[in-house]
Amino acid sequence: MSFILTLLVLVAGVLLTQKGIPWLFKALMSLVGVKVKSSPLTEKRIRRFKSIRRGYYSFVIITSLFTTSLFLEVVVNDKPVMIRYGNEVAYPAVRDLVNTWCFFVEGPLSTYDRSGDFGVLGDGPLDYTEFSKMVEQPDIAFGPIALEQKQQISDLELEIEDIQLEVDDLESDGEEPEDWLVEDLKAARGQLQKLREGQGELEAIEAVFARGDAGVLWPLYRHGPYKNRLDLPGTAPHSPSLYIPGLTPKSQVARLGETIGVNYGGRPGVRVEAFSDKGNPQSLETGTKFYVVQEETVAGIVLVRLVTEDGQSADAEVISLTPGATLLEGSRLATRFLDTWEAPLGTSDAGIDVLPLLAYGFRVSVGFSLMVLIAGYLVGILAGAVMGYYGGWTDILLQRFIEIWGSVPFLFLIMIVASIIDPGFWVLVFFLVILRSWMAITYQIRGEFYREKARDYVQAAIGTGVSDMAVMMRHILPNSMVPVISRAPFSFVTYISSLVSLDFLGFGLPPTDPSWGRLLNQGFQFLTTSPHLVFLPVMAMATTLFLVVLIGEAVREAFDPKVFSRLR
Amino acid sequence: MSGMWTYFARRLLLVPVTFIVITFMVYAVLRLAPGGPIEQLENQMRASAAGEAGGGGGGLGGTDVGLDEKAREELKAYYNLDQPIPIAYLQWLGVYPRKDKKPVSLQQRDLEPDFWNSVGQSWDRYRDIEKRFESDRVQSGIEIYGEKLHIEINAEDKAAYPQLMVQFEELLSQGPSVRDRLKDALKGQGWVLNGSQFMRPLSDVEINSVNSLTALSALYVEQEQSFQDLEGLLSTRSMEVSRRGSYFRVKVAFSGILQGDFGRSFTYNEDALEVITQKFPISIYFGLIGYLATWLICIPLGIGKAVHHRGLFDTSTSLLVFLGYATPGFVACLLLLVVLGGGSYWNLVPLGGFRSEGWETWWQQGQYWTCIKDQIHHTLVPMFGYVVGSFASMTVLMKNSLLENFGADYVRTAFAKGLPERRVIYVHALRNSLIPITAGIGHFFGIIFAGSFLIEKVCNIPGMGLLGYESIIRRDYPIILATVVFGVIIRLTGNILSDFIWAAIDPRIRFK
Repeated sequence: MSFILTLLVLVAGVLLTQKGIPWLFKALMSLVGVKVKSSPLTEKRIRRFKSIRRGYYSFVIITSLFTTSLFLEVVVNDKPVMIRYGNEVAYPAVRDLVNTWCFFVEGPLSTYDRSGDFGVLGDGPLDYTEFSKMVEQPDIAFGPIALEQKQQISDLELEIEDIQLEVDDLESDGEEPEDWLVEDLKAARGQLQKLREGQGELEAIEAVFARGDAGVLWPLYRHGPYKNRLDLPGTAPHSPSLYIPGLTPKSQVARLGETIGVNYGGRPGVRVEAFSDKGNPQSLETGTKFYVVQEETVAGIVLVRLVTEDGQSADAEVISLTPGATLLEGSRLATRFLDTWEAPLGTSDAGIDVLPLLAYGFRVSVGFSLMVLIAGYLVGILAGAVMGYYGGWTDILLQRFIEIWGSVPFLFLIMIVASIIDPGFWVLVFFLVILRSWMAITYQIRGEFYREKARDYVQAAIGTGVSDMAVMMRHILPNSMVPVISRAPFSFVTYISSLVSLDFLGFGLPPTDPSWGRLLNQGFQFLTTSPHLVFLPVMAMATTLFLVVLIGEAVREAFDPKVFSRLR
Repeated sequence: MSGMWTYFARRLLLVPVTFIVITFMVYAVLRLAPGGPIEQLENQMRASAAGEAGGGGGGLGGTDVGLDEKAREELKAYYNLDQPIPIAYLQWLGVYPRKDKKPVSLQQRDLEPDFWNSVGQSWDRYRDIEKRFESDRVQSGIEIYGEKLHIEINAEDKAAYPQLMVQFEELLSQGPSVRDRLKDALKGQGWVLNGSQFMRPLSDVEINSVNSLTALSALYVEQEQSFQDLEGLLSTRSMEVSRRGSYFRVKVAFSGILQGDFGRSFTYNEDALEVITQKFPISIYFGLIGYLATWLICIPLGIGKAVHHRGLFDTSTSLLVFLGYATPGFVACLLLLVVLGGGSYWNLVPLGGFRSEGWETWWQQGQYWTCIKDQIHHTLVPMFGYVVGSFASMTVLMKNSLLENFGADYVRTAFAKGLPERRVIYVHALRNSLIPITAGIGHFFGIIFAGSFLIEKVCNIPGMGLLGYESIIRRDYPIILATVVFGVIIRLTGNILSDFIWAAIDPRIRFK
């Protein structure tokens, strides 16, 4: 089911990116009154680009993934997209999304839902997981609370009866009952009244849930990049439940037996029985760690200590127990929490799920590089245009300036600055643009402008009295875009690497932001024990960059083909 | 040809300008940054004091462990932080004189017994008065600060200024940067913050109204007078004395990086230049080996790709090139360490370092083979990182340059006169297409410096990169600046060298 949903989301992303956005762009332009018309040459180049299939498909994949990732809050999040209770409706994940996009104001929407409004007693923030449980299984979630209340009421009723009897006895003897006895009776009755009201309230709430008048709609993946996974047993970083060769233990299942008298340093012992779905149980081995799987979640971890001779049963130590869980006899034991889809990619050293970290890290990395690319190219084109168009002293001075500026050890300088001010996203973009990225394109643009300026059409435009700015922007620039476009993907790769390097060194984005580089750093710290923290971010980064390089190759081939004549 | 010489002359002239701009930028950033050496020292003191107080189970709040003003001034002078930034920069550069203090040793004193006797008497007199003054001061609850007498805030005074105190104490607990701001604010109101105490200068009226205060101020004047006498005595021999009683021979001299004085490292407590020169060979070793390996791999590969352009070999190795583009060098190192470093998989390489511990003793014992094996062991992963780092660009450069030469007229001529294809490709075309790669050797030095940060950190190689990284974290200013100086010089000369080599070996290249 979730697989189909994932596919649907991706297809929607592709359609939106490839069809929707171009259409929207054209519509907007025509609304403003600009007719988008590309020259035959450009169209030919685009056709050529599309004909290089590996580049074109990479382009489709990367752009679609990025547009999809713009809505990541409603796809991968630890908050539901929508919750409904009676007439109350809230959209927590959508609010997150809005907050992300309104980064220029400090959190315009509150991320807080009052428990009391959604059928959970109290005024604190609503626990969405608990709410979700109540929606899905009202009887199980409510059972214990209701039972407890009933017990309390019946206890109280008995007590009142006792006191009443005593009072009655005294009165029948013609004596005046003591004051404290009467007070007690009064207090107990008051409490009973309150409890009954409370029970009524609870029943009303339960009725709402039982009627199905409450609902919750979760995102595709239910965990976010900010909250740690306290629901997982054991200590972080957790290994992935998906199979990684050499890292995840070999798959083995067993069954939980009864609790035994053996005590391992204060921790209870249990019996483990070999078991197999296919009827051919593997014998148990000392030191194997089993996850206790109950109702598709993990209830605890047991460690095999003492195996019987035939290997069919063993004593095991309960090393960890999920809060609130009890070990039920007959529970399924698995060496990986494989079928549960719990943390398929493991968790980081702070116990944060890696999958959302990678997904949000993709958005941050690509967004960051795009920003640096666009801003840097704008500045670079401007500087290059001024240099090439005006020439003379402007050109010479700027050239010298670039020569000096280009020798600044920029990684070193960013590190020094970052060790002082703890930069955020935009500060980092600013520094990368100022210190490095604007120079990437300046010389080429300068050359192009230099050449184009000597052409007749430019001289004609200048001669007819067109302003300098108009000549540069309207006449020369469109004819000098080729180097810009064909270089862009490669610059993009550099910026992603720069961000990852900075984050890896600890001088990048703030520590709460999800980032590939920080994950790599954690992998570096847990090098021998948690290789997934290296593999996964490297895979994410290398795949992304690989696709971008493929795009770059194709773009260069299409826009700026190098024709090598081979004589013979 | 003359055009080219002016070109190189201009490039060389630009070197000092670039150097000054960059080093000044770094210098200014470092000086303006909060959290300098003095604050770090104070933080350390605070941390250790808090630890002791916690260990004693005693009150944490009451401990006052800031440096007193006298010590701060002295430290500032020691780190040259008391000068304005431009002057301090020029002093660091070595074009503006600075006071160079060297402690006077006992042997030196023995050479001039008469003079030092009189100095000793003078010092004793000063100490005498100082001691008297101190005991009187403590009794009357007066604090000395700078040039003026101050009232120390004791319990009763705190009651008299309750709101002010509460507010200040709240601010005080928030750390060093707030503390500085607080100090500025207090100055405006006539209050002074010393440690965690608040003081206010006494007015003349206040001083004169109390007998003991008048006596004390007179004593203070006397004390200062005696110290000035001592200083006067020493200044005839161009010496200085500190209030703690240590004597310095003062030399006003030019002493900066131009004179080879990079300052003392804060963390290593060694000459910064020495620290750097120790690390330099290690970086060069790894960089050079990495670069040679890159050549050995990329040049044949590039040739192969060019010869089989658009063929099967070209297309299939393109995949490798793309992967090379997509993987930074340090990431490749990290991957290799995970897989081969003895974690979850194989245990083939050590987890980093330059050599194993005890390498030197093995060498002395003559176990050369073990030494060589160990060195190779430690070299593999960083070398791989350097190769991956420049693999893609160098292969593509080689290929394109060879392909361009295939289209040149002289190749056509060579074919026309009937030379075999092998000879044309491997002798005529290859020689010319190696030019851009050879010229890149100048950039190589820059790459060693820039690329080494990450690889040296990942592989834990104690070279220049790791040194730079750690000095930034520890705020070791002399080392940071020295690394920048070397980095910039190497990069600049490397770039010029590249152009020069290019022009020298390829007569067609003309710079203007």
